[in-house]
Amino acid sequence: MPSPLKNLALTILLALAVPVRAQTGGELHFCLHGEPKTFNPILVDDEASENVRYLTGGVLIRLNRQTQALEPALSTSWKISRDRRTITFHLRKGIHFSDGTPFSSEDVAHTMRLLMDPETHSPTGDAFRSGEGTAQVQTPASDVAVITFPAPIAGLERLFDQVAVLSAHSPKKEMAVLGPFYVADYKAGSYVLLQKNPNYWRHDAQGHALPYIDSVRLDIQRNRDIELLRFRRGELQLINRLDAEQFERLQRENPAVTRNAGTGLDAEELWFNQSPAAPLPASKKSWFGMTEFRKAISMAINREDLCRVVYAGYAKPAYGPVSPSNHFWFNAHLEDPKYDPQGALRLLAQAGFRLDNDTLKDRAGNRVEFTVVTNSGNAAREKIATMIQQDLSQVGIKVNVVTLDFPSLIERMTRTFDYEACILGLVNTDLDPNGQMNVWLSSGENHQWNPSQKSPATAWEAEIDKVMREQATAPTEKERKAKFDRVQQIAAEQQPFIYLINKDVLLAVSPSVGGVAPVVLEPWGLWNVDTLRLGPAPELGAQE
Amino acid sequence: MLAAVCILGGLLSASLVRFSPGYGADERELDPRFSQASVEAIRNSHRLNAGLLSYYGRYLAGAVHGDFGSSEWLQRPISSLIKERFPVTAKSVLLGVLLAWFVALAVSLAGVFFRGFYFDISTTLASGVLIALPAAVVAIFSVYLRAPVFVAIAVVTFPKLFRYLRNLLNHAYSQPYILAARARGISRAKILFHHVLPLASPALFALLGVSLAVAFGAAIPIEALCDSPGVGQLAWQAALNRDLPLIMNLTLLVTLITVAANMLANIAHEGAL
Repeated sequence: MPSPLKNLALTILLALAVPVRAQTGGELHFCLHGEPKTFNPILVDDEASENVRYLTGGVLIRLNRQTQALEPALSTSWKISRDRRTITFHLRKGIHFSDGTPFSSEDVAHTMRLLMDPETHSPTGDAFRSGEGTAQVQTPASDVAVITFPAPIAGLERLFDQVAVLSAHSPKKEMAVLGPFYVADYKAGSYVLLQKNPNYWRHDAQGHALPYIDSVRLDIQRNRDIELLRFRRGELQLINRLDAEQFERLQRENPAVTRNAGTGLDAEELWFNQSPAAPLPASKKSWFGMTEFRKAISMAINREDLCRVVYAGYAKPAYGPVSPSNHFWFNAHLEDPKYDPQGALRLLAQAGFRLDNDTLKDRAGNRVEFTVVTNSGNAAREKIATMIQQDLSQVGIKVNVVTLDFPSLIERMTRTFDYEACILGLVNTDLDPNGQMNVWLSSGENHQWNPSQKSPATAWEAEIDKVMREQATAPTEKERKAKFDRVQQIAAEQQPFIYLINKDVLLAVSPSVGGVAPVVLEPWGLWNVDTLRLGPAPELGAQE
Repeated sequence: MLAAVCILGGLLSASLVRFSPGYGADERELDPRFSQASVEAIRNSHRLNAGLLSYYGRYLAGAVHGDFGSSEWLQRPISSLIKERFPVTAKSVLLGVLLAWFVALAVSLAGVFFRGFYFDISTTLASGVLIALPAAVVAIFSVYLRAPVFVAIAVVTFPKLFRYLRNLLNHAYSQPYILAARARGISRAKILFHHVLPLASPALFALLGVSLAVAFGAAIPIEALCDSPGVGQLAWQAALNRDLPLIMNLTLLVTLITVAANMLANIAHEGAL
């Protein structure tokens, strides 16, 4: 090739290569696993909308998903009054919404008014509702907002991590945002397209505007196998929360793309129906009400095997309501019970059960047999149920497994109470146990083993009620922690929920995405979306 | 007649949903963040539609005025949901039916023109295999092969169409006057367009109606599996979420289309006779 031509070719090559190598721009592509029900951050209650809210919403205080510490975001500082009813925010100045509308304390007041409106029924707002009455917001200056609640709120500042500030004046209403991206396009059932917010307040250490990525395309894709297929084809760059089987498969093919963020917060659990309204025989009700019975079942379940067989080793045995990944709230002083079928039998014998020809019978001679329900379509839960069936046959208990579709399951759990035992994972998005108030209070709707009690049915439930309430009003986090440690201890002694496992948070990340640091908290691989970079390697496996 | 069938169909689907286990249960009830008052409000929103006949009466009264109600699951007006998604499905179904007809006609005509044992047996086998494939399996294949939704719809519609079409054409070509026309040396095209198709047209029109109904039925599982943002996907999720008003409207829509397609076919049939 003559040299001028060669030079020309080289120049063209370089010109082509530079934009590809550039560390900013590009479109990140991943999937939502359901239709986002709303783009109004106040009404968000599903995971898909939550994802969009995280990527678009600007909040006053951000919970750093990696350090689990609170960091200033739209507020530069905040102060909580001694009675923990009032919080004063000092806001960042010179900030604009994505549509150019200036941001001020009036927007904070507007957001809080909408959020606390009892007619809104916002899960985010309900978390702030600790007493009768509404919150008052004062705006003494354009960069100062003072919010006063009718009653003290435990872990108040942490709740603001969920409150995306809305504009009081923008004609675009909730579509004007303060987060790294804004919703530019949405096709129902198909995709949500987010574009970089040119007015996003954060800059990197060199003063470059964030986010680095120009746009994010979230395809709505329910089928997880198709999602994985598309990832392997290079059409997607990230999958949040793979199941263990998919993760294993991907790891064999290409270990460079698999990322394990560690043990997650969500637990799978088994519980017995202790509701007096349950249409069950008296004998069964009496077993389910016995502490020894529940403890024996817990001891007879081999959790290590569950982790190994059902989750291919990508899970840890769970013994309590708080995952060890929740650094602050986990009670590390509780001893992990051992898998001990002989011990379980001894405990059952103390409670009057006896083993007769490998069949466990109660005092009255009834064979111990129960049915576990779980939701259909969840392969892991179905496997857990089968493993438990085998484990309990070792202590002479016959377990039947029935799967129901989700609405029928909810109907049985909350209305007819027509079930004996249930395996389910109750979602735990919040680090602070105050978010689980409705689970622990005996009057709570989510007190699944015996919900909505007029007065606590047992002494230990009464104690949990008392300690949970004290926890909510204790003046310091340390005291709150001591109270909640006690709740964890009672839960371990009484086993109303028999916790089984905490699964690992598993992701797939294309090597073309730089800066990903997956965490166990929602939104997993995307928590630092504003500092992610897209590089080359469009094909899977092609690494720099 | 049309209206009666639709009203009955709507009532049937409404009763199926209303009396299915878990009607009125909402996943949000398990979310511990909601306060008691909010959970109560969620439950009440479902109770509103719980009385079947009163609901249906109210629905029909609203529908007459163009108000089709709101989806319980997505909390949006149903007319806007359907408006967004119907064009997607209509396009896939129409393209699918067109493709199925094109292939079925081509293969059956090829069979008539080049009568041969092996050709006959292979097309019979192929359509036999296809007819035995459930729509969901076809959908999975189409995802793996990156084929568009309308191709999957065509694959499901084709075998049903093909068998009927082939018999129809074979029958037409075995008529004595066709034989006579061929003996006179009239060109194949002329025989096809002047003698065979006009005679077979009433049956063909009827077949068109049936194939549209088949394609629409296939669109629901195919769209759900391929995540194509059409009415089928919406119907699937509405069923999973026990969304009574949405399922009812979608059933009515599908009933309306099927009945209308069949009626058109009937009219065409009678007109041609």
